Amino acid sequence: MKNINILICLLFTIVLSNRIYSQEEGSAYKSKLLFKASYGLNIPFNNMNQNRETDYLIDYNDKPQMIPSISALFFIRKQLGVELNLKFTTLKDNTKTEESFKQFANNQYSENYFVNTSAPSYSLHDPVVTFGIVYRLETDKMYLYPKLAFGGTTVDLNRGEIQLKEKNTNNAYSVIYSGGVYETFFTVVPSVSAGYKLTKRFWVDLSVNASYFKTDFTYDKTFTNLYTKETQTENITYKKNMFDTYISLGVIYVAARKK
Amino acid sequence: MKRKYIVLLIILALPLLDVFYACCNCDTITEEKFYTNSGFSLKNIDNSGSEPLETTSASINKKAYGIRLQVNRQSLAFLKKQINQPLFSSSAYAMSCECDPEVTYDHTDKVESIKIITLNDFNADKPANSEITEYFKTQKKYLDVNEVIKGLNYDFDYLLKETEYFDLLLMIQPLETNVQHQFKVVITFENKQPVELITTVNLI
Repeated sequence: MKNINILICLLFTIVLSNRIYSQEEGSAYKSKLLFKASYGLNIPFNNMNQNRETDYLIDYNDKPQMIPSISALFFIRKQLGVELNLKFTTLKDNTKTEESFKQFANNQYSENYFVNTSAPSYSLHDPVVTFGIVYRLETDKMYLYPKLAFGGTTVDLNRGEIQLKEKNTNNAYSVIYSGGVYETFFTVVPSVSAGYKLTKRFWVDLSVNASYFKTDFTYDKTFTNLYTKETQTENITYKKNMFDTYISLGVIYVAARKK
Repeated sequence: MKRKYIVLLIILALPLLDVFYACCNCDTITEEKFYTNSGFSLKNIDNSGSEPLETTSASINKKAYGIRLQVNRQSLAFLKKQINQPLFSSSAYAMSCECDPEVTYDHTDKVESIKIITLNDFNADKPANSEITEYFKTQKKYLDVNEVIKGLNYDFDYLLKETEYFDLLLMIQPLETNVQHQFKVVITFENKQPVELITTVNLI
């Protein structure tokens, strides 16, 4: 019952606000092409970790971080437009990550082996690219854009290697973790942008979006006896629903207006 | 008339192309020197730690035993000079921009084989004076002893490595009852007398 009340209130607000906007329609809905640059806080709600050494090889930052994003909006109809958005995620601190990988390997193997590790990361900043539809509600001074976008989140899967020299013997082993180079996951991003029109060309914008993607990839752990060349392979599978939210402040530049 | 100009242009452009490719400014002379493997020595190594260490200890852990073959090299006096002259310009290696080294050191005495022989009984299959080369492998990559031959016959660019050692690890352990061991390494050459080296150890 409580939920129904909230839903009715929400619908009433939307319908009413639409009416208010409609009254001022003459001066609104003029923009055609808009460019937006934003900067804000990205908050992941969960992480991919499985408490395995491969957790340190995955370039996905699961800590809150300030990141930029840029987008282009084009309105094809009065109240309907499309948007292309790029959100620049920052990657993990590679030095810390490599140190953590080394620490994990030492904890696991140092009792019987001399341990050497390498987990180089060559990752660039992979943007989350999304494309979606925008619904437009505007007055002369204010706007509200509910949006639904789809895209891809790229996660870099770095290679890791542990070299083991057995204590008091001539035996040596290698442990190689390989997950391919990267994986791109289908991402759904519902969001809403609202703002104030400072001038005809420049608006200030506040956006809130939520994104969802499901990971599905496997790391191969190959343990090799370097003398006998015997190998043992283990698969470490990552399948998890990932959620995050991004709250950003930005500036919109209206590049083209309807005459 | 026009065709004449085109032919003339191509003829004039050829030296220009050569200059264009002469981006490396390489020296035109390569000194080809020679070296000889002047001395070999054999030592015991203990590989119990993270890296093998030379040891004079009489007894070594048999699971971590190895031998270190050290070679000393000496540059010889005679040399050849090879002049690299491009077509037009004074310094160029067309396209690649990779210069030949100013000096090279080629081997004179070619190693043909390396054999390791046990002078004491090793196990049931290998009594005294049997060849056990296949029981030893190179450190880190665990390659056959034959790989050491490549290192001994190596032709160097720029700088001669005057001292180098090759570690060979014993990968098959002898019988518990056989503790005292002597290993003989025989290096044969294409054009000179073989070299024989012996080392003694107690493998415990």
